[in-house]
Amino acid sequence: MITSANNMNKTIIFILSIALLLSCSQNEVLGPSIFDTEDRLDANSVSYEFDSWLREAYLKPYNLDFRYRMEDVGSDMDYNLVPTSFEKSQQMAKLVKYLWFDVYGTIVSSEFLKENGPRIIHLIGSPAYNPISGTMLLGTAEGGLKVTLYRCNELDFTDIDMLNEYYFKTMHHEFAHILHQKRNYPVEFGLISQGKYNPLGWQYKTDSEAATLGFVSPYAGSQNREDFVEIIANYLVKSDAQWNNILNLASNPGVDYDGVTLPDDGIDGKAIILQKLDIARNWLKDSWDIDLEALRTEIIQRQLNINDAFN
Amino acid sequence: MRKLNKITYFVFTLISLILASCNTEEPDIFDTSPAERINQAISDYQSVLTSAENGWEMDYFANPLSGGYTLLIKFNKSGNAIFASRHEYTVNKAYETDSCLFDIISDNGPVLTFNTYSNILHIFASPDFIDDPYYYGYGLEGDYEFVITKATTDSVWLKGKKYGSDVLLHKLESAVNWQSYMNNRYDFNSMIFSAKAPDLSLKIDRVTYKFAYGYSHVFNVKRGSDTSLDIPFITTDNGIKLYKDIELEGYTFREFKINNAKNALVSVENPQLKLVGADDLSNYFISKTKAIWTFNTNNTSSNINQLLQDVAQSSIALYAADSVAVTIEYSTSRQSFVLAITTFKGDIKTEGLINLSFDAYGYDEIKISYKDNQGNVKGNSQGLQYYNDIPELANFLELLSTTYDLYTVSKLNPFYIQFYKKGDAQTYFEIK
Repeated sequence: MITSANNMNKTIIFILSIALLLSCSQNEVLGPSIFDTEDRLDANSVSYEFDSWLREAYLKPYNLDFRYRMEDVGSDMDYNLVPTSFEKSQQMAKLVKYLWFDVYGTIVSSEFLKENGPRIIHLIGSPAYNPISGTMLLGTAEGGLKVTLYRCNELDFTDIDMLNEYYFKTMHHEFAHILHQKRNYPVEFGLISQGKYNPLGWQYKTDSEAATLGFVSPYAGSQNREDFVEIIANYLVKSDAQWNNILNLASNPGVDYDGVTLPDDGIDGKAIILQKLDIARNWLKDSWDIDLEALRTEIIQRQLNINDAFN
Repeated sequence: MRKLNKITYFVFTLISLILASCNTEEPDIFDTSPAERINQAISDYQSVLTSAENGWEMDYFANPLSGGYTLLIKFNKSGNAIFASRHEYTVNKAYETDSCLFDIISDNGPVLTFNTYSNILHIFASPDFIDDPYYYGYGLEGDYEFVITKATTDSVWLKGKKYGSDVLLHKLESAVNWQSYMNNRYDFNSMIFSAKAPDLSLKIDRVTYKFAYGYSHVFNVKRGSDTSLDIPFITTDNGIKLYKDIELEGYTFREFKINNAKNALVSVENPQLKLVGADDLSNYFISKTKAIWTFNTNNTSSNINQLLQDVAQSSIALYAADSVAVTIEYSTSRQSFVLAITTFKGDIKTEGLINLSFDAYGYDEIKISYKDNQGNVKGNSQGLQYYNDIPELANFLELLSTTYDLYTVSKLNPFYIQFYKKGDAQTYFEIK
């Protein structure tokens, strides 16, 4: 009796399975594709020439999507932002290629950027103000993929200091984040200024106050990962005179926003900054085979001939 | 028996399985997939927008609590949008044009996005447009991306993506000249609104509502000391249109048109009701105790102009002043209207005041006099000194002292008031 019941059960299950399998085999024919699979640029578009240039200058060599048309996808509720003007977008695209991408492309290789560089650059015309903290974002790098540059409508390509301060230093800064997120920097770096970082109040220190503590900029004093990338970014874009000025400030007691000279804290700011720079330089060489000095020389050279960017 | 039951159950299960499983076919509501439908919508809207040869008029409200402004837009098939406008925020408040790129993207529905910067549209969204700490980081909080909710060949309904205001596009007739159109609109707006214009009032039966701050294009509507409501509006060719319907005392209001006499904005929905500004100009003038009136020499008769000049020159000559200003104002210290002659020498300002009396003579009629009942001239010591030293001043005051008919272009906004001497067409002046 048991055996025949088992057989019956097996049969039942077998038939049920077939029934299930057969029941829903609907042969639906796939309709036409909704995706435009041809990568065409619209030749009638007013931005055709620029879009074509972007494809040759960024997409092909660096695998980068240069998004100058602002995407407020989801509508950022944290900030009120406006797009970059078409004219500034074109200027920005040329400058970024000349003073940033081609620098790494030349000194390292374009393969390096294809592998490690950002995939998207997104331009935004206005700053992203945080009215509560009184600060503004200059750039963000999300997970190594997307770099957003703000304040692009203020672009004045005759003012190198301004360009560096707001764009290129930011890009080197963000890129350094991308690099150290892939290969960590030495732990000992964070120990040098341990206890002196201030994530919420860094903006209240002057340049001299920060330098005297061993921070290359006030923002470097916010946290140790910012400190690391700020050293690299500042060293790359600052002229000898500007860099020496920081070291000079670092050798002297700090002066705050009220003009009051603070007492000597016993910290040799200059020595600390140079020590941090050494660590960064060595890390770039050891982890990435990048010569920091060569990069810097290339940048300075290009900055002197900035009009070449537009030829 | 058990075997039979088992088989029966099994058969029933099998049949129901088969029947149920192949009933998954639900009738499609649409013939095409969502992606195809949105692509079609985008294409249709693109056609509608670019088909307007002379472009569109946009009733732009940055957000549902912001004043409305007219923007003109032409959408080109190349993806370029040309803007024009003239209003309070354009450069020098002059007619301005600009262009930017636009696109219609899918988002959660079809969205019209102006994704590069234009001076004309994006100033409403720019976080640092207004140089005022209150707005810092916020700006005027306006949209430049709009969900397209509906479109016909003549109208397109948009809704701001971030702030949700209802923005309408109306197709412009091909004969319309953009510059004239905006200039006329601006001039009309300036005629009926200014920062110094009186509050408008709307009288419904026995109740009066005050409509204040018209200059900002957002009325603050108040009855007595009751809580108020704010209602934005936009200026039209011949009146104003509120952002949405409001209800007062059971009446619904949306649109107002100016009347022929230009002294009222008549409700379109309720023609017996209207918004009025100043009433009797003489009373209006006398009530403005904080105003400082300067002479508009372009619209003043030659005799008065000449005397004004003489007085000014003499003041400068006698006191070696750098410049002089002649104004009419109310002096709280003297508790009277005065003719003020103010000389500037370097940093030093010397004010000579002569009492002037303005009396409401009749409706829109006023009488000016400067001597008191005893025939004496009253003023501060400096003013009396001027009176003694400058002979033209006495002549000027004599000329001024008479009765006048008052006139202004629109009583909704008496920014300029003209004084016409009664019975003497050759003597008149305008103050502002």
